[in-house]
Amino acid sequence: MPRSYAPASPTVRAAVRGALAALLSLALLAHARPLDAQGEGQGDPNHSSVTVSRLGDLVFGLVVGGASVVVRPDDPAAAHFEVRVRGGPSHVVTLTIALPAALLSGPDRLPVRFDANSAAWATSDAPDARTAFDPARGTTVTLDQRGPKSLLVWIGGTLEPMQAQPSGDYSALIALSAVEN
Amino acid sequence: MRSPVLRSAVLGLGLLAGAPPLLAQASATTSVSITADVVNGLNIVKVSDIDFGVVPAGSGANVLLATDAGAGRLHVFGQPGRPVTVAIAAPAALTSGANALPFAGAASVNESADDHAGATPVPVGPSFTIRLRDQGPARNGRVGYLYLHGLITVGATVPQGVYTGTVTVTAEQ
Repeated sequence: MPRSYAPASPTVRAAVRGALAALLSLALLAHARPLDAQGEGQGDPNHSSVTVSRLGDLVFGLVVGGASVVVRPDDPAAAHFEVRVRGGPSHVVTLTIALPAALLSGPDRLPVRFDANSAAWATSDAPDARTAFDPARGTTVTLDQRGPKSLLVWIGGTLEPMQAQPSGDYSALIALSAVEN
Repeated sequence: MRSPVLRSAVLGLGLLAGAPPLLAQASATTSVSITADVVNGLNIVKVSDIDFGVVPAGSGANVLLATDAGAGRLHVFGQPGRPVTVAIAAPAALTSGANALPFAGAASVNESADDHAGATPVPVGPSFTIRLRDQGPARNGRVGYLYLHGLITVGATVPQGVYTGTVTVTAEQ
């Protein structure tokens, strides 16, 4: 049976073209270059980037079974990060830290503890410029709008080896996340 | 009169322009390591060797002090409060093949801090006793700090070479 096709009215064609154009706009939007968190955006309030650099590990060194060992944030053995923010309208940075409960050496566990003063941040290396915070709770920092959008973070901790803690090289990881709000 | 296509494109761009900024947040994450070397029971850990460095032939007596950078350093770990008997055996000479360089070993110990300036001389050969102090909740508690140094005599006819020897430290508690 032959089919017949009636041409669409001008109103319908216009509506279809309009819908296609709107879809094209949305498609262009969907395929726009992703705004990379690591990209360059210096001075552009619509392009922001945050970088976190590792400046030093948390090194407890030689530890004897049964003797607690404390590394304060101002100890050279403390973990050390630098957070830099480029671009973006905000000067507020939220720091979140993933902390281990223990260091491991094969099957052996070595408990590590962090307290309310185990971490500190500052916008300079000056010791008296540091602000202590609890690494388990993280912190939010408002940077000086006139100064560089960067800060330093230090993290210490307390090791609590058992009296019969097996000898060995123990290790774990700390992960620092920085978000520009 | 604008076409419907143009109107719709303008509308789409208008929606795009009016949308909230895509980059409301930027973030990054980096990890660092936590490390610890646990020693349990009685242990001696070598931190550094004795190193006289480059010594010219004919320079005679070359003294290496506990406070010199080339001094050997060892940490003695054990139970606090209980004495540790330590013996240091040093060779009479360093050797380079068949050639020998006279060596007189010396040692000093600090029972409470890693501070060679405050170390007390101890004998090389005969055993001696040290007491490990519980240094409380600080780094490296229950440690004795031992520094090895000494003197080499370099005559004018000593053949050029790398001279080495071994100093042995034993401890009992």
